Amino acid sequence: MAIVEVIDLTKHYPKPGAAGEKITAVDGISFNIEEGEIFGILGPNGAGKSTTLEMIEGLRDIEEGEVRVCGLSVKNDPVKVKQHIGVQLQESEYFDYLTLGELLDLFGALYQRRVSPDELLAGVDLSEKKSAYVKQLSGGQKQRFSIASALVNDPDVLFLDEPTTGLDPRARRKLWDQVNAIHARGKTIVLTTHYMEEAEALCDRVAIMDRAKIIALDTPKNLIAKHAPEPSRPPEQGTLEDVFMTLTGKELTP
Amino acid sequence: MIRMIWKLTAAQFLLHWRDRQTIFFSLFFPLLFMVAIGYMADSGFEQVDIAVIEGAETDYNTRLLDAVIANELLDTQVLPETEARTALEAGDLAMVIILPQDDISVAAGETAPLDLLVNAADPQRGLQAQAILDSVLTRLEHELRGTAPLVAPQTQDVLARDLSYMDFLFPGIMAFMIMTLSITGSGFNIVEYKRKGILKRLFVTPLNPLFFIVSLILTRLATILIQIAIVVGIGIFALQVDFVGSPLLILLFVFAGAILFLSIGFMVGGMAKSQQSVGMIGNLVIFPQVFLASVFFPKDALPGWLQGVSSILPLTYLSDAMRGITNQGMGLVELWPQVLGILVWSIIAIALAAYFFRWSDAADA
Repeated sequence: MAIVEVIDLTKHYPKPGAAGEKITAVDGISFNIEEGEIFGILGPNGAGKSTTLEMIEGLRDIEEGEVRVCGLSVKNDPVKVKQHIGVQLQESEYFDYLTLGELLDLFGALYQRRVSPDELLAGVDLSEKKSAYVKQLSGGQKQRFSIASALVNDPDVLFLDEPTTGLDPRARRKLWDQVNAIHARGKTIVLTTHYMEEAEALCDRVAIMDRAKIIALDTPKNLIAKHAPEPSRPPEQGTLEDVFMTLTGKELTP
Repeated sequence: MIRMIWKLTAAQFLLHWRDRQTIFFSLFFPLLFMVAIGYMADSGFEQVDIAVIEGAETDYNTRLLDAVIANELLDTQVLPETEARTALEAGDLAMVIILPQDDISVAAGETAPLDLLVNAADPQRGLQAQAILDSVLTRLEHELRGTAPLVAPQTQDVLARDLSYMDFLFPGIMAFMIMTLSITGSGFNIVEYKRKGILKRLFVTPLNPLFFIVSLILTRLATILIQIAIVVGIGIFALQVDFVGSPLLILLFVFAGAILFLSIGFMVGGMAKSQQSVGMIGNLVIFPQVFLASVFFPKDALPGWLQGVSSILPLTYLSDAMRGITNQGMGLVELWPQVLGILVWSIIAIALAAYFFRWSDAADA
């Protein structure tokens, strides 16, 4: 069953510096996200991934088309939709002088819920950082905290916008583990990325966006089978990333 | 819903008090300023420093010296001539009096010569010292010659109580604090939240923007009340500021002023598209008022055409109202021009804030 339905979604932005002219950010795209899957949206910068996500999340006005989340229309019922989703934004800071525990408590209150900051932090391996400020966290810890804060309302769908951008490979692997753990609890996860290996490692299905359109949508395996060119020579064993992981140790400390 | 607003308010309240820089500028800075002024004002008027070089040991010289020393407007030292001249040339003294070496029978009608040295480079203080000396000499003359003074002026203060500069400054500082805390707490804060993506993060949740505004206003009101209470407490107990009016009326104007300047802050926040421009527009609103709005000195001290501008500034209405209450114990009826001014400005600011403020911008971090 489709938990997110996107139908003919379109968005234009005014062109910077050119009055009246417009840029098409999202050009009539349609797709479904099935309940319980990890769905990836891939594409180069400026392809329209974030805009698409933000329209689904109710953060940006839907110009044309329709989005339904858990059967609710985002256009007509944005507040109800927000109750059902958790969102980790690409880059967002938090209030400077609130501890992680206080922030989670606050976010819970915004959903009219009482949450247990301890449990949420334990879920992303940040238990010992409960009384730290966000600015005291490393990049990977910040992203994991972002995910914890997106889970305060126990959402049906979790949106992650480029969760591993700017992280080193170890922190990225650790975040993948978290995403898989959340997925194992039955959540539907939608993520954008421009790392191909991330999509391959995590996603059940992948939509590839380019220039405001979806140009391919399938499982990573099928996409590779259909579109990948024949290798000209046999591939080497593993990747440089595997080398890095082996040398620095996969079992990591945060 | 109540819990949501409470949590948001409490969170922002914590933010304010945990930020040392904010606390320094919004609380310690005005306090330091007041205490410094308080110490300066403590000495009252400034005494004029003079020195006397002793002359012959005559009855006349002794009485003259005693009279000069006894005068509280003069700070008199008895010095040897060379030292006195050096101090005068250095600008430490306003005048040096050289007592006569001869015995002069003034009581018998002789006129005593008196040599005075003043520094020509500082004629003002010299004249001031001479004027004071003249009054000392006149009194001495009546005493020694047994004559009656021509007039006996009786000075009375127009106000029943005497007002120090501190009494003038104190309500102005309150109004100033209300203005800065309100403007930075509303518009500046929102633009900052927007820039950091905090607003966007908040509106990923089902939070109603109205609740967010309510929490912002509650946070600021609580902060203003606490900081004003601290300032009033220190003013009354440590600096002996006179506070004759109704505390309830002050409270009313604290609220009215906060609403006025919060609205102005939202207006500024709505007009500004970036962090830089909010600082610029904000300072454009704050700075002229600091100097023109009778916070630190009365608007009579301004040139005529500026007085007109000054008298219609929002901060002038607030500080005049505060001053009317603390200094003169005015009531709401007497303060009607101020009430009207604050009301009109509030309506203008709220209308402009509503016009300029767009929540949809929140997503465009």
